[in-house]
Amino acid sequence: MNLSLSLLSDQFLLNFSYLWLIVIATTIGIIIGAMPGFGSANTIIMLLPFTLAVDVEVAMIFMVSLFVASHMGGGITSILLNIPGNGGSAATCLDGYPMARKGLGQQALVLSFVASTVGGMVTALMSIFLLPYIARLAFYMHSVEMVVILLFGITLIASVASDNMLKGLIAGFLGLLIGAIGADHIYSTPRGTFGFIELYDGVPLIAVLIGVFAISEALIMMESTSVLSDTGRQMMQQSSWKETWEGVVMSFQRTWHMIWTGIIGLIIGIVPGAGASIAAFVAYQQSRLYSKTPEEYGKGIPEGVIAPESANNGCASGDLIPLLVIGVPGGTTAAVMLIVMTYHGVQLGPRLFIQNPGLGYGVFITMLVAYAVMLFTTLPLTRWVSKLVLIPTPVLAPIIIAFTLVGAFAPRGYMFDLWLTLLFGAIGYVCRKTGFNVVALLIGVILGPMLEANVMRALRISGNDPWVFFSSPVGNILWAALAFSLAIPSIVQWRRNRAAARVAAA
Amino acid sequence: MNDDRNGKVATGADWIIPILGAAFATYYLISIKDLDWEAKVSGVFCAVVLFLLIGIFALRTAIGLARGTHYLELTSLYEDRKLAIVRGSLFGLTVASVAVIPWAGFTLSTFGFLFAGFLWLQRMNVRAAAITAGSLALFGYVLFILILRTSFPQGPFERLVSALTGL
Repeated sequence: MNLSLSLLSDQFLLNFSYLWLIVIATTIGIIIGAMPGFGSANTIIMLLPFTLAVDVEVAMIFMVSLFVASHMGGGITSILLNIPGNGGSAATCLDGYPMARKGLGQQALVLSFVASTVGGMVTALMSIFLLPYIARLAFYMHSVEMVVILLFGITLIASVASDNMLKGLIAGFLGLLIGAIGADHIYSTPRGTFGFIELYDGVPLIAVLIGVFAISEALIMMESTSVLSDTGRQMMQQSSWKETWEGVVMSFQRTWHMIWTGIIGLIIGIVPGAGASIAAFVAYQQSRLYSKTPEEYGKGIPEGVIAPESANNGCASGDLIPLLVIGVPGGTTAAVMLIVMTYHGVQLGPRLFIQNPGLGYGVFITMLVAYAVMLFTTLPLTRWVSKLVLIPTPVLAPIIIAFTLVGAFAPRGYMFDLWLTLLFGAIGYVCRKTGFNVVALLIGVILGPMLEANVMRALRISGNDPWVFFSSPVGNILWAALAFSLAIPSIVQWRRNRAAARVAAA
Repeated sequence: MNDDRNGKVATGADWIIPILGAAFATYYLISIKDLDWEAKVSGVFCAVVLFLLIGIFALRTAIGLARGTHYLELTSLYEDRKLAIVRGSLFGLTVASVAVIPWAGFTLSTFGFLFAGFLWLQRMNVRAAAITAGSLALFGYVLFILILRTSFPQGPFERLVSALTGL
């Protein structure tokens, strides 16, 4: 893998010559990123005729720009409407939405954009120089380690995002079971489908996402005529460029925070299948763990927006590393990119860096240029985009329902998916009203099929020996971390209760 | 649940999800009982853990009720009657709009849903509601059907536009 200055400068020049394409792709990416149901993978699939017709370098510039922009765009609706555009921005809701309710939506959007940009750029730069080394991490992640990581993801979300860990775990495991609906991978026999043929491929994730977040949120927001508090409304009405600048200052006061949470995203993104949703939650949990004010998390703290957004975009870099280095896509969009690159006759893996190093490293140069472009095109928009929350909720709620239902229908074109979305909307509403965390439920549904695939693979390889799950040193360390993550909140709560009892007795 | 009364924890409505979860897990286990072991190992694991967690939840609630730290109530699910009617209307309108999509198509069903929603929930005047709903439905038609080519069932509006313009 010969990395030279001339190679990098050539790639920068190539990207600048396609600046117009990057502007178009990032604009599309930001819009579709903010629309649940219209992920970057679906959009690239819809635009396949273009990516297959042009040169592979141009196709990659387009796809990578759109991909990173969609990661950034997902935070917009998370912050303003409590509806994540994609799984990676679900953690942003935890503090982004409370900030918007306080009238700090503009600052929260700027925090999200700057953190995304810094996280994305730092990890893209790191990827260029550390590409050969960090790719080796992926080799340590076999099916056993993946099983533990996936379970760790659920327990982490249950302990981080929920007020009540037990309810969070119930929601998470219910999600995993819902994710296990559909035909199995080996015998193709239907399981838990209620006889619906539309569920043979599993529960469509978009229907769950839109149901538990968008529909239930629209029903919840009818409680008041505005999503803003009275002071929040006054602040939003008087907002100006000052708030944008405030957001920029708030972001750069936390530069180190943006960097290290971005690196968490990068490392998790390298693990094939782990994905941005886990990365964002791990970064959020780590941010809270090392914070001097952990009790402020969930109430609208800037670090609570920075951590998941930076990690989400760091994960975008990580997603592409296994694709380029070992030819294994880290996520759905990377899988679509793999198809396009293969169509163009590109050989992925170590050969890519010998035969066409410009293409390999060029992916990360495109990321750098795309993030720089977005900083100039999206940051000024925050002043106007944040006004969305000023719309009265009786007007906003039907609009949210009408347009997000389109996203539920679009991927498969089944009317069944619309009914399923409404069902999950009702479930999401009950969950929210009774303290069962909807994020844990959603992440469970996302991770369910991955858990099953990895459990099956591990058992097959080991000749159905269940002890295989405790056979790997890395896996055992992860098991210990999982047990630790479950025990710590209970111990902390027990100590708090004991201290409170002592105070009451005194 | 979140609402406390004199430091007590409300319970009752928060049983809906565990009951649904237990019912679904039972159904899931029945649906896989005849399958090969490999096809059900992951599902059985998730279902068993879910039963275990629900069992702990039940035990904690029962102990709480016995000790008097928990109390029974269901109102936090719908808060008050007026709000329940508003939410019920919105959900009912949504169900109705989805039900008519196969005949009315995307544009007309969206227009009808938004128009009725604005009139009923925001008490908008008829003209403003019609203009706002019409503009939004038209925007949706251009973006989702003409540009993104979403394959919604065609209704009278889509067929008319297609016949007139060839789009």
